[in-house]
Order: sequence, then C-alpha cells, then structure tokens
Amino acid sequence: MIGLDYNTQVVAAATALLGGAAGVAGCLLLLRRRALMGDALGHATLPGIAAAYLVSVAMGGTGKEPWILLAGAAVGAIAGVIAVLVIRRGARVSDETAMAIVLGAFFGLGTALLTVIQASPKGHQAGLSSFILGHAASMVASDLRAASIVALACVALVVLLTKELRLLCFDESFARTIGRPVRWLDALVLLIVTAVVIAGLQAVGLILILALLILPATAARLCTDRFATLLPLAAALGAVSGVGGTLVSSSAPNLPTGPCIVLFAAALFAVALIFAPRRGLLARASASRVRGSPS
Amino acid sequence: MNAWTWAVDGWIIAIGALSAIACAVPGAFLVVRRTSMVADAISHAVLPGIAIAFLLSGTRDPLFMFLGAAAAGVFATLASASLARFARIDSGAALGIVFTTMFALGLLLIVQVADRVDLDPSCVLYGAVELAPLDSILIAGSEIPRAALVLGAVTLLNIALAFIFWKELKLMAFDPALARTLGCRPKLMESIVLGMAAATCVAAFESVGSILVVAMMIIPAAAARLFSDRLAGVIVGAMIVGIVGAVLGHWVATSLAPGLVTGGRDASSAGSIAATLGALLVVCIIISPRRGIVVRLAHRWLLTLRIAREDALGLLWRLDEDGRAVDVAQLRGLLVRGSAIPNWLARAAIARLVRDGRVECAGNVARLTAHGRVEGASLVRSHRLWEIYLMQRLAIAKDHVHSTAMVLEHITDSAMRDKLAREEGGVGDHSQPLADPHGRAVPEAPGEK
Repeated sequence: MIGLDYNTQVVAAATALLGGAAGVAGCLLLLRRRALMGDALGHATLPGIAAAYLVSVAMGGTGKEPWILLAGAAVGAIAGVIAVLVIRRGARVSDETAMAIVLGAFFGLGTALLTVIQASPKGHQAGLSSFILGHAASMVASDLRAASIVALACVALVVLLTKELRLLCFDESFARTIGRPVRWLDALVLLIVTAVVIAGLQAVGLILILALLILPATAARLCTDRFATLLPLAAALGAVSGVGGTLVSSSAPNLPTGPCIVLFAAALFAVALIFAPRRGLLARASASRVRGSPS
Repeated sequence: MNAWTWAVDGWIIAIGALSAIACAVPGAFLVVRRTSMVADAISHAVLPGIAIAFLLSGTRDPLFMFLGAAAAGVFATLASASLARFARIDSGAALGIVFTTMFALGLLLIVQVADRVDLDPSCVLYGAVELAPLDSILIAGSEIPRAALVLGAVTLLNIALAFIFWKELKLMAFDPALARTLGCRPKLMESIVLGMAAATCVAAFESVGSILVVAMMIIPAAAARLFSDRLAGVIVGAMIVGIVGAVLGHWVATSLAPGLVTGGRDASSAGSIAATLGALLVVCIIISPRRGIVVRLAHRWLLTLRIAREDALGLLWRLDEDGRAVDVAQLRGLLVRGSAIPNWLARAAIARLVRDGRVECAGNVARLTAHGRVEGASLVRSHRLWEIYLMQRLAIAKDHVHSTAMVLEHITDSAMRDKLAREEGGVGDHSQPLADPHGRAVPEAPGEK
C-alpha cells in the first residue's frame, strides 16, 4: 500500500480485517441457513444506537462517545436476536417472517428515535445517520484497533471451536446426540455475527453489512465443499473486497467506500459464480453437455 | 402535544391505512408461503431503479420513478429466484446477495447524480409520510394527495387480482404441489403474488418508506395469522391490524412521544407506525384466543389444577381403603409429598374439591362424599389397571410401574378402563377379583364391568 496516503491505508487495513472476519462469520450463518439473520441484526442496532445517544445526553454526556453508541448497538442487536427467537415461538411463524418482523419494527423504532434526535438542538451534528449507510472515510487509527480486536477475537474463537462448529453446521442432530451444547454454540455463532455487524457499522453501515457477511461466504461456498478450506477462502475474499473496494473508492471523488466494497465483493462473487471449478456455471454447462451428448 | 388538523393528520392516517390495506393482500401470501424477506429485498432493491430511471429520463417525473422502481423490484425477485435455482444457493442467501448488491449500486448511482437533483437515500428508507399531504392533485374540486391516489389504485388492483385468482392463489399458498398437479399454473400465480408485492412496495415506499413497507406487509399478516387459519381471514385481519397500527402509530408520533420523551417534537410517523405494529403483534401473541400466551398458560394452569384435584381424590380413597382418617392439613401434606406439587397448589385443589361437593370436612376430618368416592374409585381403578397392564404386557418391573400409572390415570376415560379390565380379566384367574402388582384389589367402578 505504498504510495497511498495514511488515511486510505488505515481505511483499507480496517476494512480488510472486517471483511475477513465477516467472511468467517458469514460462512457460519450461511451453513446454518440463516443468511438473512445478518440483516435483521443490522437493522436492530439502530434503536440501540439512538437510545444510547439519548441516555448519554440525558446523563450529561455528549452522546458521541463511540463506545457508548456501539454498546447500544450491541444491546439492540442482541434484543433483536431474542425477539426473533421469541416471535418465532410465540407467533408460530417461519424464521424468515420473524426476521422481517423484527427488522421492520426495530428499524421503525430507530427511525422514530432518530427523527426526534435530529430535531433536538445538537442532534443534527450527532452523525447517527452515518451508521445507516456507513462512513468509512472517517475511520481513524482507533477504529483500526477496534476492527483488529474484533477480527482477531472472531477468528480465534472459530479456530478454537472448529470441530464443534463444523458439527453444528453439517449435522445438528448428531451434535445434539453426542452431547455438544448446540444451543450455546448457536448463541456463540450469533454473538460472533453481532460483533462483526457492530464493528462493520462505521465502514459499510447497517444495511450493507449483510452483503459483507454473505457475499464472500457464498462465493467461497461455490468453490469448495470442505469446511477447512471454506473459512480461510471466505476470509481472504472478504479481505480482498475490503482492500479492493477502498482502493476503487479512493481512485475517484464521489465514490462512497461502503457501496464500493460491496460491489467489489459482488464482482468476486460473480467471478466465482461463473468460473468455480465444479459448481460454477461454465463447469456445469460443460458437464451437462458431456452428459447430454447423443451417443 | 399538537392537536390534529384533519387536512394533514387525516390524510397521513388515510395514507397509512391505505398502504395497510394494499399491503394486506400480498403480505398474507408472503407470510403463509414463508417468504417474508422478499418484501425486504424488493423495498431495498428499488433504489437503483429510481436512480437509473432518473439517469435515463433526466426528470424527477413520478411516473418514470415508479416504472424504474417497479422494474427493479421485479428484477430483484426474478434474479434471486434464478440465482437460487441455477447456482443452488440457499434462497435466503440469494435474496440477500441480490438486494444488497442492488442497494449498493443504487447508493453509488445516487451519489453520482446528487449534485443535479435532490434524491435522498434516507427518504427512500424512512419515507416522508408527513410531507405526503402537501403533494396533492386537484380532483373534482378537492385536493387529494398523489400518494393516496397511487395507493388507492394499487389497493384496487390487488383486491381485483385476489378476487379473480382466488382459488388458484389459495391453493398455491397452502399446497403448491397439489396446485401444480391440478394445473393451476403455480409459476404464474407465484409471479402474480411477487408482482403484487413489488407494485405495492413501490407504491408505498415513496410515501411511507421502504422499511415501513416491510413492517406493513409482514407484521399485520403475522398477527392476523394468530387469529385465523383461513386465507380470507388472514387478509381481512391484516387490514384491520394495519389500520389500527396506522392510527395508533400516528398518535404515538404526534401525541404520545412529544409528551413523554421528545419534549414537544413530533417523531417520525412512518417509524412510529412500524414500531407500533411490532407492539401490536406482541399484544396479539399474548391475547390470541387459540395460540396466545394467556390461553396457553390458562390451559396449563387448569390442567395442573385438575391433576392435583384428581390426585387428592385418589389419595383420600386409598386412605379410606386403609381405614385411616386425616385432617385437611395432613391431607395437604400427603398430597404435597405424594404428587411433588407446591403447597399452594395442594391448598387450591382441596379447596376446590370441598366447594364442588366431592370432599367434606366433618369436624376436622376430611372425607369423600358419595360423589367424590365414585370418582376416587374410578381413578384408583385406572391406576391399578394400568399397573397390571404395564407389568404383564410391557414387562416393566413391579417397583417402576407406579409413577407411569400416576401419569396415565389422568388421561384414562371409562371406555379405556373397560378395555383394560377386559384385557387383564382374561389373563388371570377369574374366581379372584383383579389385584394390582402390589396385591391390592382393583376397585369396582359403578356402571363399569
């Protein structure tokens, strides 16, 4: 990254770390068939952030302390996960419906609080809306440190528990039979995803974080059937998307970083979709031509 | 606290209610078909459609915006469906990939044109229902907001489509395989539902914002689902819940929130309506007559109380058999230990038995009445017949049959007792009365063999 200014280096490093962590977390979500949980989680952070701001201001703070806002985001996300589980049981609806319900209601609450905050005397400077669409350009060295802590913690947890998580992802009932704590492992997966979502709020915002979670993971899934290959591959694709998107966005004015990262990841996904060795469209087309040729 | 002015607040509520009615039809299908996140995907995917429509047409003409958004919404559903089918990707993941990519593209495009036109991404997300009454068209001498007209048209379209294809749509919603077998063209029906969802999302997002569209489409239908198993019931219920949510949500935004937290400032109506809908769903989960938490807890409580009552009757009958007399406190103590229930439950059960005339307290002694004795005998009969059955037929050890019989005796009716008695009466020696594994006689029950 020689030749880039310091700011871009910081943003690129932070988004690469986040992309890597999101790739790993996304694999777990994808294999558990809960890809859209990332979306519900992301949207559920908004009321948490807004409420944290209001609490902080009410207690005499400025409301801009990042740790307070991120703690609020975490509380919102965890409340969202609990709400999904409760609604799924209580209203007897599918996973997807419960996620859509939580997403709509929580984001609505967040919007209502946000309009209130923005109408208050100091509120328009609070910059809370940058959490929705992300504002990577404003990342500084402390954000890089936070991103690296989250990324390291996620990767370390996943590496430590690889065997258990693999079992959970591929054969949940067997995992339960041999006495693995399936509920706790599930909760751990959601916790890892929550950490990544919160760390990614500033970079890509709470709507696009879903893309960072599932695009690298799905692309990697197209290329391999092995869990041990899937995780590092997804992490690499996520990291490359982070760096690539940041570089593209810094190459011209008027290119916001978050969307650039997502579109870079989407481009990688498209490449995987077409060229993946066995499940790619090209490979499958040629395979079916061989099979279907008249004898 | 601001007083409502009907020219503004009336229209805001009307627009909210109209979008609730429009959303109810596709929403019910999405919830029943378990594909609710489609609404979320469409509502995010319209952003690039709007941007591209602007780039191509060069104007902010609502017609172009509407067409661009609708095209983008349809494209998103088709693209994610084919991605799921051809690339064999989990359908949720395919949906997420398509709509986040489209949203990112939309953001990028909007930033490019931002210096030429005021297209605000946050407007797409939150909507501006507060401003909708200002943008009105003069029709027959009265000013009608454009949003209300568009939503009204989409509502009529949805209801008309639902009427025309009712049978096919209903079949497809509950049994797609059967629908295909009967030649109902499930592909076409699926496209009609997705088309309705896309048109409704596009019509509603401009006024109420894309997130509220998701809430409006899914939450009322999920709430109505708690009250009805019929598709028509779900649709009508969703309309009612949605309208209540619109009125209540607007009241929360303009009256409750300013009074409570915001110091006189209105909160966003769209956001408040979405949050209110969520709260309404929670209320529905609690009070739903068939699946609600209250009903389920009441059932469980009544069942627990009935079992405690029956245990008390059986206990008294057995004490009577041994010729032992107990006072109420002793009976309660025995019941608490024998059935492992809390003291208050035993107290409630005994009090109920006394009130029903099954147990009487003569002096300090608790005794069965004639009525109570019949019921106690039936219970003990069930219990001992089950013990015989478990030991003889299932070869369960003698000291293990009691606890299972304790459970089964509560769900055994007289027909089952007769059958058990016939079965076991045929096994042993007919000259002796039937005896359980512990050597106690099985009591006769009046009216049973």
